[in-house]
Amino acid sequence: MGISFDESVPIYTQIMKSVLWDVATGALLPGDKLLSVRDFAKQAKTNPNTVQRAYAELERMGVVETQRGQGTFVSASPEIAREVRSEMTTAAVESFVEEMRRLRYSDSDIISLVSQQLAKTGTNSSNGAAQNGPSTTNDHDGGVQ
Amino acid sequence: MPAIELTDVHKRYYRSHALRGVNLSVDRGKIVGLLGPNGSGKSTLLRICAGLASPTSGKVQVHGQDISIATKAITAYIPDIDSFYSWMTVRQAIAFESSMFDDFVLADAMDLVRELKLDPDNKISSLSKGQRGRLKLVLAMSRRAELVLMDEPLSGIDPPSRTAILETIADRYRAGEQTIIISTHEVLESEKLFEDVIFLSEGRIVLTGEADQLRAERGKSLNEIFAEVC
Amino acid sequence: MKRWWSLVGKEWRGSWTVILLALAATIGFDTWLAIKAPVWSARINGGLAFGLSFIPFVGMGIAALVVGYYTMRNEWRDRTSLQLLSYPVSGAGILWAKLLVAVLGLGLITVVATVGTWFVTQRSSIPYSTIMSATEDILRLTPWERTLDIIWMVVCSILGTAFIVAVGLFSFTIGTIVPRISGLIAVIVYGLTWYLTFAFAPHAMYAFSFVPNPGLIVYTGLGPMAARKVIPLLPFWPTIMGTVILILIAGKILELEVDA
Repeated sequence: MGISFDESVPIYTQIMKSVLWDVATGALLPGDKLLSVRDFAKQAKTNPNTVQRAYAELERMGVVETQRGQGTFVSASPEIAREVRSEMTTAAVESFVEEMRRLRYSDSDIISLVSQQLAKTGTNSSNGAAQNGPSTTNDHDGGVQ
Repeated sequence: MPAIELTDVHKRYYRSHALRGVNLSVDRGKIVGLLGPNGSGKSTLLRICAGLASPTSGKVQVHGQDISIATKAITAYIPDIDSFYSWMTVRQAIAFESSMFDDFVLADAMDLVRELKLDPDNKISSLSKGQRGRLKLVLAMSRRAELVLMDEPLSGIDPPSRTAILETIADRYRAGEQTIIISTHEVLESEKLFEDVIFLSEGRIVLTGEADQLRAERGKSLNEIFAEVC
Repeated sequence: MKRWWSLVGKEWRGSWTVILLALAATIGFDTWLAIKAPVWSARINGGLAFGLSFIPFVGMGIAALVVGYYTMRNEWRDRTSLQLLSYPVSGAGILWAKLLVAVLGLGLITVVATVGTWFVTQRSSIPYSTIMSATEDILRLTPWERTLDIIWMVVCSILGTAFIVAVGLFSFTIGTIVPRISGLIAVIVYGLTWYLTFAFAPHAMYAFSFVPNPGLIVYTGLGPMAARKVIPLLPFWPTIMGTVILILIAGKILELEVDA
């Protein structure tokens, strides 16, 4: 878990984002156990109460569930994972488009920029291995059910 | 009942006015950062809470009681300076500390000694500064103390020891049961640990608040806020 | 109480090298005297070795005068005073622990020195029996009176040592009130306390003469008309009270403020 925190932004929101991201990318699958509050705090050298707060917020959102004495788990329901992924996607896309528009690109420019970048960096694989030209056998659902 | 309550506390020494009318209430069960530059009065404040100094005027209470042997029994104080008996070995220091406090857990101490890579049979006089800093931590965190006061635990310590100290605090802190107050002027590394913060400058409190809330309000890290207000 | 004994243990562990050194020096010195005694008795004077064997006692006296001050000063020098007063123990408790170890340490060395002196006497030309019969002839003491006197002298030395050490502890502690000139204040308080002690000792003895006091049994002369008197070597009750008061006051001061 290699989060590097930006100390000018509330820590608990960054923790939440990190967990949400892991759920969205499939690093955390439905039913997976999250790091215990203590272990997370120790690795991140941060306050356990802050971690607890983040977990509590995530539980309120329905993304995780706490089982007494056992720990905190990603919600077993696959819809939740899909929802999280789609929300992260929306957020990412919105943020990207806004940024591009602020740089004053037209819509068609934005699309061709994206295509170029996709071509340059190859298929949508997690280790970003460079391939020769665009691949046509993309399974865009990746590893997330 | 707050962990610590200071009411209009002044502390004067012969040539200095170390604390000037400090009003403070620290909630229980949190890790609190006491941030301020050198000479701002952090050490003085912690010493008063530990019972090592008395305020010139004003009132101090720990868990709703005046400072006494009873409050000392539930307080773990790590001073900023080295205060070990240098003729003792690590093991003897642990045994002595254990005999002074009923809430000392020997098993935890030996665990921490191993984790923090200290040799129990080393004489304290032969320990490096980083090792002594780690030993101070072992003594404090091996207890079920309700109040832990750490005065500059990272100051002058080598980077690997600092990391070890921060990790140990995050790991061993008993959330909700313990209140830990950490004073430091090196905010960068430690700021993620704090739930609440108190900024002290020239003997006065200039700002208090929840760490994440201050970050959200100001869009700045505690370190940056520190540079601004102190 | 368990904590207090742990404090005592710490004091002892911290002091035993010094005590061992003093013991070694005393044993060494007395052994040397014992070796030389027969030679000197024959050539110079029978009482020379015997007299010299009292040097360790003088050393003990000087040690008693300074040990109180130094045991406190070491805590401040090593900054351990901060740790000590953050423990759930009373200031007086800390001082009693130091007092006990100091008295025990000095007592131990005194016992060894006494054995040494006895040994030296054995090997000098002043026989032990001569000294003992002298007490009978000159002082006209019966054996049980002599025993009582010995017990009383031991009690006096312990009490006296305790008071001397307490003055040292007290003086240093008062000095800490003004950290910058603590040494100066300590010396002034030390001198003042002794002055007041001797100035008011007679008054104290008078005040306590109305309660039972132990003392030394002596006869004022030879012959059937000699009077039997009991004289105190030390004012018993005032010494105890003085020691307790000094420790209690110093203890309170420690609890108020500790510097390093």
